[in-house]
Amino acid sequence: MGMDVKIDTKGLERMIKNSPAAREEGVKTTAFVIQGYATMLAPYKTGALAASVKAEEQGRDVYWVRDGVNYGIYQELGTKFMAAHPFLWPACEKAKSQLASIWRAVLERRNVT
Amino acid sequence: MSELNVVSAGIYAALAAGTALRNMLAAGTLSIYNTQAIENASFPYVVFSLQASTKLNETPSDQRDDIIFIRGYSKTSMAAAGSIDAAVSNLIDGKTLAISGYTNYWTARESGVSTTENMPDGGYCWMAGAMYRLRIDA
Repeated sequence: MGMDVKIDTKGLERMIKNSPAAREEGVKTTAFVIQGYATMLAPYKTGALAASVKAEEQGRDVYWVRDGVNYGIYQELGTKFMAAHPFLWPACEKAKSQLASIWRAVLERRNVT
Repeated sequence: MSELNVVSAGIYAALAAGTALRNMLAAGTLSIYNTQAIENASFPYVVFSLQASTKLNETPSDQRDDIIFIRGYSKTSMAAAGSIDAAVSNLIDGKTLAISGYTNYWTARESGVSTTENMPDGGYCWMAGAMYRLRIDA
């Protein structure tokens, strides 16, 4: 007595097809969320530091979020002469706490669920 | 007392309890500073500060995930600053800290950081330290 088993792989194929774009969008969205928080948290005097924070694509699924002024690191880490006013580290921590919701939204939008 | 104050007190107590660290500093426990050293502080010394703090809100319990930046400053050499950093790491990394009103269930050294600064007298000041993740639950 034989038995036929049919497996419907349409959903799986759709997920595989849409995954690279979803992954790309997820990484990019996360980088821009970090950029947004860092801009908001950057200490403000002239606005140059806040305005210089950028998320830049460095390669496939790799983004760097960094500031563009030479004193950014001193604000982030402090110096012998001044207290730290961190903005990038807390931005990463805030984004990290939202990773699940960021990626859920991306995966739903890209039909990878 | 606020969560930040009790965390600071716990960090200070853990650092101040370290004989090896105290012996490396200019004035023992008086050379451990919260947020910023006093002006004209004698080298070497240690500074710790809050780098990031997140209230997790995953359960009704008051759980916090803090990043504390602890670093040593030396005017002698980067190696001397590194030795202070190592002594700090021995006291904090993987240890259970006494945080009043909270249980410290995770303490781990994460990214190491070092910098060199030019001093007004023409010399240098070296800093070596690390970010420590501190997870606590009330």
